[in-house]
Amino acid sequence: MTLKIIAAVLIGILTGKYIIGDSVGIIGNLMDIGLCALLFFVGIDIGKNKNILEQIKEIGVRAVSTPLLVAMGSITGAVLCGFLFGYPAKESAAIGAGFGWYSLSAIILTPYSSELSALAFMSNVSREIIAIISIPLVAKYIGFNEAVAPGGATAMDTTLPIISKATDSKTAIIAFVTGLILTVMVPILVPLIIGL
Amino acid sequence: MLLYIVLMTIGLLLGRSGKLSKRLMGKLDLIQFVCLLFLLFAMGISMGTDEKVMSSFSALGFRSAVFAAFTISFSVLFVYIFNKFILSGLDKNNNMKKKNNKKGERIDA
Repeated sequence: MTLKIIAAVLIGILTGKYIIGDSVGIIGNLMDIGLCALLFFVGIDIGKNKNILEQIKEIGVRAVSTPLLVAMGSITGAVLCGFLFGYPAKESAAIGAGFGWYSLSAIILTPYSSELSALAFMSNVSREIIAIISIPLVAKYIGFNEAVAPGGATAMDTTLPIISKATDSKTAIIAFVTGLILTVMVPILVPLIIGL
Repeated sequence: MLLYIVLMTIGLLLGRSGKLSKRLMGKLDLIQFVCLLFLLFAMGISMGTDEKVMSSFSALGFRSAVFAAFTISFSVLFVYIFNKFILSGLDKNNNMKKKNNKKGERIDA
C-alpha cells in the first residue's frame, strides 16, 4: 500500500514536470472534489465502529489524554524543528498537525504552497517509517501507553498491528481510539493552523 | 474547512445509522484508496510543476526526516510526562481510596 502511494506521487511529479507544464488550474478544483469524497467515506468508515463510545468509557482518562498529548507533542516538536530550519511557526505547526497521515496533510497544504506540501508529505511518510521501527523499542524501554504516540493518526490502521504485537490488548484499544481522534483532528487542525 | 467537517460528520452519521447497503460498506476501503491515489497523483503534478520543489528535493528529504524525529520524540515525551507525573498520582489516589474503603469495611464488619 505504501509503495502504491509513493508511486502515485512519483507518477504525478513526472507528469507535472514533463507533460502538463504550466496548466495546473483545473487540478485544484479536481482535488477539492476528491478530498471532499475522501473525507465523506472516511466518515462512514469511522461511523461504522459502533462500540467506540463504550471502548472510550472502558479505557477512561487515557483514551482522551493520549490523543491530546500526542497532538500537542507533535505540534510542539514540529514548531521547535521549524525554528532550526527557519520555517514560520504556523507552517511547521501545520506539518506537525498531519500526525503521520501524510496523504491528507500534504493534500490540504497543496493550494497553500507546493514546497510546504512536499515537506509535509515527506515528513509524515518519514514519521510512519520511523514509527514502525521505534514502536517496539518504545514499548520495551519506555512504556506501553507511550508506544501509541509515534504512530499518531496511523495508530488506528497501519501501525495498529505493530502496537498490538508490541503491547497488550488494552493498549491496542487505546491506540485505535487515539488514531481515530487524531484522524478526525487532521482535516480540522491543518487548515485552521495554516489559516492563522 | 467547515465543508470537510460537515462531510465527515454526514458520513459518520450515515455509517452509524447502518442504513447503507452492505455492498457499499464492503467497498469502502477500495473507494477511499482510489480517491487517495487520485489526490496523490494530483498533488504530485503540482509538485512536479513547481521548480522550487524540484530543485530542493534532497534538502526537503533531510528536513522531513528531522521533522519526523522531532514530532515523534515530543509525542512520546508528552505522553510519558503526563503518565508519570499526573496519571500515576491519580492511580495512587484511587488505590489509597480503595485501601481505605477496604479498611473501613473491615472495621464495620
